[in-house]
Amino acid sequence: MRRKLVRSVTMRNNTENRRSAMRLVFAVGLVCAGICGAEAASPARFATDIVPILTKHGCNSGGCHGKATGRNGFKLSLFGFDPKFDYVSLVTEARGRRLFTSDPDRSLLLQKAVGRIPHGGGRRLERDSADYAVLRDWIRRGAVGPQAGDPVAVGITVFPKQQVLGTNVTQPLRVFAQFSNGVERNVTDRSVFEANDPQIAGVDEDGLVTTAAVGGQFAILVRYGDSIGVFQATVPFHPDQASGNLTASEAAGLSKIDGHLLLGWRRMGIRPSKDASDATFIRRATLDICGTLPTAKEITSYTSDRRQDKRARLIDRLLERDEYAGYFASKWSDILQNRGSGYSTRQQRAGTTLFSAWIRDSLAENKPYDKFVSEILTATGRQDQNPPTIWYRSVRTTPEYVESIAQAFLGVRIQCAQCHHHPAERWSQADYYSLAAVFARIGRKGGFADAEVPTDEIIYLKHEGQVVHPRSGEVMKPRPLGGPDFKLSRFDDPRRSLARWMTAPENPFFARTMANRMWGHFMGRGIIHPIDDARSTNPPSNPELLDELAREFVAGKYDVKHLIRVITNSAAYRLAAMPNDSNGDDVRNFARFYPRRMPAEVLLDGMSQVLDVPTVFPGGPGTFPSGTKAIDLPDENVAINFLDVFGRPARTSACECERTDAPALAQALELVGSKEIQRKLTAKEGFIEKLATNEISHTENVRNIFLRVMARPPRAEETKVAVQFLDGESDRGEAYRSLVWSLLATNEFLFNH
Amino acid sequence: MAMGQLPNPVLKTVFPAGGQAGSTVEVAVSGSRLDGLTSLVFSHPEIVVKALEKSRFEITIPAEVPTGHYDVRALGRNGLSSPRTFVVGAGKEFIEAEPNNTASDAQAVPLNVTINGRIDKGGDEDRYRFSAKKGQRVVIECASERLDARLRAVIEVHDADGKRVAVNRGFFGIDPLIVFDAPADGSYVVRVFDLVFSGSADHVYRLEIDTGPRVAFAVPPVVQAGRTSRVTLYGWNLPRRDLAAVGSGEETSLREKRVVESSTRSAYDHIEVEITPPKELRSAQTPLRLRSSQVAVNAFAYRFPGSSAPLAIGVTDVPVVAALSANHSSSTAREVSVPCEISGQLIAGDELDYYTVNAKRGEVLWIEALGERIGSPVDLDLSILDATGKRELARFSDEKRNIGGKPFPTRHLDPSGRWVAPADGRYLILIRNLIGSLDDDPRRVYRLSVRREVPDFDLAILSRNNAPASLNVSRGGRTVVDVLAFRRRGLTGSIRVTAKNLPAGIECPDVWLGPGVNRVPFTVTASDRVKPFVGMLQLVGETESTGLREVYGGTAIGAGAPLATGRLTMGIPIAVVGEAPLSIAADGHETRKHDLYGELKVRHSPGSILDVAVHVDRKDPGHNADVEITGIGLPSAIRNQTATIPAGKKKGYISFYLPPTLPTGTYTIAIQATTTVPVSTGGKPGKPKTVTVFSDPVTFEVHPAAFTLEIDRNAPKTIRRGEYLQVKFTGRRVNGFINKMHTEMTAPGGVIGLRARGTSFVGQTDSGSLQIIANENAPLGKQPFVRFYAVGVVEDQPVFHGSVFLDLEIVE
Repeated sequence: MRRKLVRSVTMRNNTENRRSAMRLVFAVGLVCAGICGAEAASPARFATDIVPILTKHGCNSGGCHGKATGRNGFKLSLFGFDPKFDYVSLVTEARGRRLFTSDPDRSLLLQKAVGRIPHGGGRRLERDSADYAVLRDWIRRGAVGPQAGDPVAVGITVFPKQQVLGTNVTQPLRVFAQFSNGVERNVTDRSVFEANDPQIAGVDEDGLVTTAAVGGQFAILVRYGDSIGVFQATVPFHPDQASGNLTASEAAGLSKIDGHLLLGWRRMGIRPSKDASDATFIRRATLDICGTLPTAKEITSYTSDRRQDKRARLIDRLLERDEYAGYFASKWSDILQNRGSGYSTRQQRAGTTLFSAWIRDSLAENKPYDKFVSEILTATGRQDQNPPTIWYRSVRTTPEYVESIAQAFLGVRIQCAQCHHHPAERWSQADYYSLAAVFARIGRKGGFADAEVPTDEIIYLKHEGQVVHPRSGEVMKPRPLGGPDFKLSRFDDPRRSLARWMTAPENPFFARTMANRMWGHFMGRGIIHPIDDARSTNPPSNPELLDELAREFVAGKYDVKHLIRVITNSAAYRLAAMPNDSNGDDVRNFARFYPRRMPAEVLLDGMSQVLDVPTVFPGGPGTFPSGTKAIDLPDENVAINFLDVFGRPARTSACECERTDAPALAQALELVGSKEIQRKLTAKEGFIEKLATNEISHTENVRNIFLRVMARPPRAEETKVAVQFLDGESDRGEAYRSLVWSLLATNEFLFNH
Repeated sequence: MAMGQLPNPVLKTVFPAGGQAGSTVEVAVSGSRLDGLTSLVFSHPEIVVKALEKSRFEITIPAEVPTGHYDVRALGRNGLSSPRTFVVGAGKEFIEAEPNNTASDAQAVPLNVTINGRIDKGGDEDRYRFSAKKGQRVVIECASERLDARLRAVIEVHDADGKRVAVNRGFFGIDPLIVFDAPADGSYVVRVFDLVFSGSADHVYRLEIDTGPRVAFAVPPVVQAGRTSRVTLYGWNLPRRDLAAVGSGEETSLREKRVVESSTRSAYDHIEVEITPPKELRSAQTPLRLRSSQVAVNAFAYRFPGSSAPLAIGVTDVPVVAALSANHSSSTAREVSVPCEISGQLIAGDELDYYTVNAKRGEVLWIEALGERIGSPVDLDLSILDATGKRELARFSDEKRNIGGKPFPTRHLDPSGRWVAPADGRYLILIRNLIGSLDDDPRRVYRLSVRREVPDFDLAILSRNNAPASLNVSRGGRTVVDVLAFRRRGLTGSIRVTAKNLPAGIECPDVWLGPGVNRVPFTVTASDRVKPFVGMLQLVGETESTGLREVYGGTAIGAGAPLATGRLTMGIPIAVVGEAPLSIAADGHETRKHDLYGELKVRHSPGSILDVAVHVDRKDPGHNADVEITGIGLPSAIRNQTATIPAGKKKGYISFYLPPTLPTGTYTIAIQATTTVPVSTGGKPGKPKTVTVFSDPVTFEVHPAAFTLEIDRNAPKTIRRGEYLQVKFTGRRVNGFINKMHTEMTAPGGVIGLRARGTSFVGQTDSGSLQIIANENAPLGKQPFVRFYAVGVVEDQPVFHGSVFLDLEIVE
């Protein structure tokens, strides 16, 4: 075994790796000298030897016998997370016909696995393989089940853990499991490997990683039993330019954030694009912070500002505008599922309005994020007294509590653990239901009852209520993810303890999730992406950067505006969207600005602003005042086709992914045929009418139009073409209508870039 | 001639909805069925009304009228309308003038003003501009819900740059209030709009922009009747130090410190004052607006010098304990003696307050908390624990019964209950709030009464038709309202309701709310001769164990709205208008001829039948339609019936079975009759109109039974003409009765076509059979109210009666 490891290590060409590998060999060698021999001779144990073989060969995967209903009458726990169950299935179920101890080779298990008897899953195992031998030997020895004193795996280490690799190279992985009896063992051949981005690198069943011809970052998930490990690697785009360091003088002039960014670029061997123009920057920042286009006046005044710190000043100014609170309130209304549909708007609108207003007020007063979340999480009372109780109007069931909280505030998708151990994470059903127990005593009463969703119910803490583990039947104690049980008296609301745990500075999820969410908002992509799917197998593209942002956020006492300032004043946020020769392939390291289509509401408001004709929003029970913006709507239940076509979410989950910016044919049709856009283009009080009737030259008008629509003056060529077109048309109004509409339909307008 | 039922006039808008004491105001009203308006009727008799054109009135409010919430009703051809709230204020008033939708159109107003405004239509916004000096504290409060109006107001303050600097969407319930400390000298704009951008003529509000003293709440929130007490008032712009120069003990200063720390959102001023409440617990004339769930809240109107509105401070007849000490654990519980009323505060959201009482084995305690009902933002929960605090012996939560139904909701979140001490010893009472937020809030005050089983009750009247309404009766006619009983501390027996000082020509026979009955019809009859007038009805209730209790007026508000609610009114005004098309009279004590005993007097008991003879007086000779009759106000144990008095007949019967489970006591019901009456329009006969009239109350006493009768379940349900059958029965003797019983078949007004031979039996016999013969010409079908009947004899006198309906149909 030692020889094999040494051989594999020497295959590598990197001297640094070789050094560290030698250290490991030395360490493992010491351990093995004492224990490995004895371990090898001992008979196979069910949980730590047999089940991993089943896992490795896919027997218990979700597509096969691990499916909730099993497969052809034979069911195993998914990925072998419940060895006791598996043992019963394998050994005693079906009158014990699956194993044949007196002649192991005739066991149904083995005959099917090697394909001697027809098997829906095909041949999974070779007769002469080591795994076959282990299974046969185990059966021969009487198919001993899991024993009380059996050692269990307490964790695994993947070697190496991280690596910088070239393109088109291989890298073997080794997996060592630590057992409860203190033994460590090489379990590489019992482990399962999965690559997260096969375009960059793949992995075979022995753990041999092979990189492809492109650069990037990737991770390999390693699973042994219910232990999870990860190998992360970077393949620089330009290895010749890659390095892992900044010089002291380079670092000195940079903020920590910018230092980490630069280091990230260095590692990938890429260079950042140049800075965006002033006009682009003010448009970008105004759109991202206020969900609003800058006016021509704002653009002119910003571009002519000669002060060094004008970007920071602009950001400060934008953060104080009402639109900041309005725009981010609509974003949080999505995440918090402030939903108006599915029941009578007449009765529900007061609630959604109160909640969205509460969110807006919280943002406007820059309520610390920990307080904001705690108030939602622990909400009690009536919507009039405490609008965050509306969150509990949308989120009503145990799975919804757990999953929404985990996803929205902890960046964890824990859904899988409702029915089985999370296949790619450490979360077990016990974790899931312990978190659910926090919400077991949510009481609801009163309210003007709608069939399903009461209008005005009171949320309170019930005296009783419990959550039971669906498999063990155990009554779960309230417990945070990965933490010890809460200490509670019977009068304590466990939600308060959960809120305290979450918002503690040392919480590993809370600040990071928000920092990543905000980074994702401004950069178009999270450092962890998707932003609410943090797991070891989905590592951050720049871990130091994310750590630093989270640290800043905690140090600033969860000051959201401060976090936004840190992000928007960073080197990455001011880069142009245009790639250079080095960074075109990169989509994770923010070496350029990733352009993205404006969100539906922002786009509609932008058109209203450009054309100077507000949207008329249908709504009940009252009438939205003239000039209401789409970002100010209280809920999603306002029938505007434009918004739906451009991806407005239905607010049925805590996932920001519910909002889509994918292109669709319907969007093009909407731009061409929308009655609302037509109305805006033709309204008597609108911008086009002014253009049609003013006495100003085409050249001057075109300049104004470009400033208004594109947030920049026209280029000479553009002016020429536009004026030519206008001159050639007989109907001045129609000519301007066509010109402006064609600009509104360009990607330059539709995108934030 | 106005024939038929009176249409129900509903007052929907009064604008302005208030005025300054000592001023004259022009008021416009609107509503439905307000034809022929002649005047407005205020609950304060000294407010003078002069009719202007159509629906406008000039109102003069004498300076002596105390500030507060009054009722106003419109009087017209259809009588008195439903009430609306009219506020008498202390400060200057101002009427909104459109356009004021934008900041540039904002109406300039001075400080210390009450603006009467209205959100006229969907999307309307109103703006007012005021000037303030730096550091000046301006309180901006908008009332609308408390005016019975429909606006759900949001108020905002914007600075000169148009930036929003303050907002509120609900402080007193859904009515908002902003405490605004002006950050700089300058002008500010208040924006008023509806939360969901609704608007209508009914979206009326009163907006105060005030720098004078204002009181929000008091601690303790309750004082002992007639006893001078020290109370800390919390509010804004109150003088910083004590008015009454009360010495501050250690506890007081602790408390002050805490309040300052805890009220980060809107720092309260507070001041300690000495007040002397009235000797009586309550008066219906107090100008405080009480919701339907607040019937049991005894309070008086306290007016802080210089403030614009009175504050409700609770009044109790037992000593008040102010819980000043820290009592947040079982070991620091505060000991109280019974009876008492505790005043406390749950400032932190998860605060627990503990009290201890000593009780003897078998001792009964009634514990009741008031929180939601005194405007405190809490949902209280009460537990009784053993002395260690480890074991919960009892727990009390919300009042779920809703006697008033949807239009007059009387349920609430305040807990109360009866508890019997299991052994001599010390017990803990724990009170806590189930809806505390993370922030501290000194407004979370509560009253907690700990008393022995001293029964009591409150009564309120409510219109029967679930709509906002007043009490109107036509000449020679009768109207019915419901009396609602709110029984407290174990009161179960009958409550008698009596009218006092009735105006001439008005008759209101006493009615009884029988054991366990919480709602009963109360009839008001006007004689043929009485002239139209408006007066007040004064009703009182009493039981054997309590004194007299005043009956409060009540009204629904905003019927049909999703969140319809109700409130109490000041007094019960009554108007006589129009004339009645017919009248009915009911008699529940008609005697009956018996073959053996002659004229039988009625004695009601469980397991007997209540027969009500109904006489119809068809006033119009042309009226010749069937009259359908049914019971109203029946105790839930009694099944309702319907009957028809055919056209041409003047008398009919309706009978109700009193089940064996009915508790003994005095009950009242009434009979409702529905028929169609001819209508002539311009001398020509029109389409007949359906009218409903009511009988006078039928009051009957239910005595203990001597026996109950049961018909064999398998007895035949049909009988053929000319045939006979036997019905087996059991007569179960109860209460020691062993004497002779005679059985027979009978019906009010007699049985037609059927004959039956009953049996007589004595001593231990308790079963037998009834032989029934149908004549050849017996009328087909069922005869109403035919029953099997027995008379129980004592010393040859017919004393006891028992009966049960016979379900028997005559067929071919």
